[in-house]
Amino acid sequence: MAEPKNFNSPEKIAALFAEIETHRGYLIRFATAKLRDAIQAEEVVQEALLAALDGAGGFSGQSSLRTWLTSILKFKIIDLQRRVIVERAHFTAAPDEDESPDPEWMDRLFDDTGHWGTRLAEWANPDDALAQKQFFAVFEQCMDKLPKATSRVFFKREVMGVDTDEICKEEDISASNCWVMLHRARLALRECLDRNWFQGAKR
Amino acid sequence: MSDATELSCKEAARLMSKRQDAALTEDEQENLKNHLYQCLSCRRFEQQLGFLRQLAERYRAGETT
Repeated sequence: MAEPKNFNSPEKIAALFAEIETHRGYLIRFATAKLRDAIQAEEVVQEALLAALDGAGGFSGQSSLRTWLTSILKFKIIDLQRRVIVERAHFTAAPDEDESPDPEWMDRLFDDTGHWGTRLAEWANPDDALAQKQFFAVFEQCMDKLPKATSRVFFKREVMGVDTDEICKEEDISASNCWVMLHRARLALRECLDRNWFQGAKR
Repeated sequence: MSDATELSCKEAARLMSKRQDAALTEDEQENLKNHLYQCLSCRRFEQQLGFLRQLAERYRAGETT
């Protein structure tokens, strides 16, 4: 068997190993959005990371490391979905057990006349935030606080960049339901980033 | 026939969010424009929605700065 071409030095590969691990959280969220199953997501990410470590020499550095890892993960997810379809003729995803614990939540952001309950503050230096790893950690925590289906729909739409039509099909929901979920996600994430980053930064 | 309605912030926020995913009708656009003109909080919400999209794209690439 032919060895894969290796463009990288051993030192570079060691550094790459360490860096690959820092993307695990993102990849798990990506796989969870696709598979709806946390355990399957963990497994498939593990497979993808092992494959990535194996083929680390093949990483050319032309795309970002995250993009490269995501492309490996996508193949592993397709593999898994094929296996699952063969095993079970009808694949039904596990139901979301935490749906809409508080449907009134969105209403409380606004007063009786439909105005914002509290005036929105300006976000200072948003570009600085985008340069900080900590800010992305806060973003991940905020996404994790959303109800599962809401978080999944948001991730597909905004992170993966999938069209709403496609999301509706995958999730088996109506377009208006999809917009409501996305709107809730955005309102909640705005609140969460506001409270846990931007307002704190002013102190 | 144009249907000019005064939007509440709640309604304006919903339209701004919808606009991220689909086209608004002409009436919706007009009503939203009028609301944004007079509402600072909603203008901030508009900016923050845009930022949220930028943030998600950056997150996908996985690189800071």
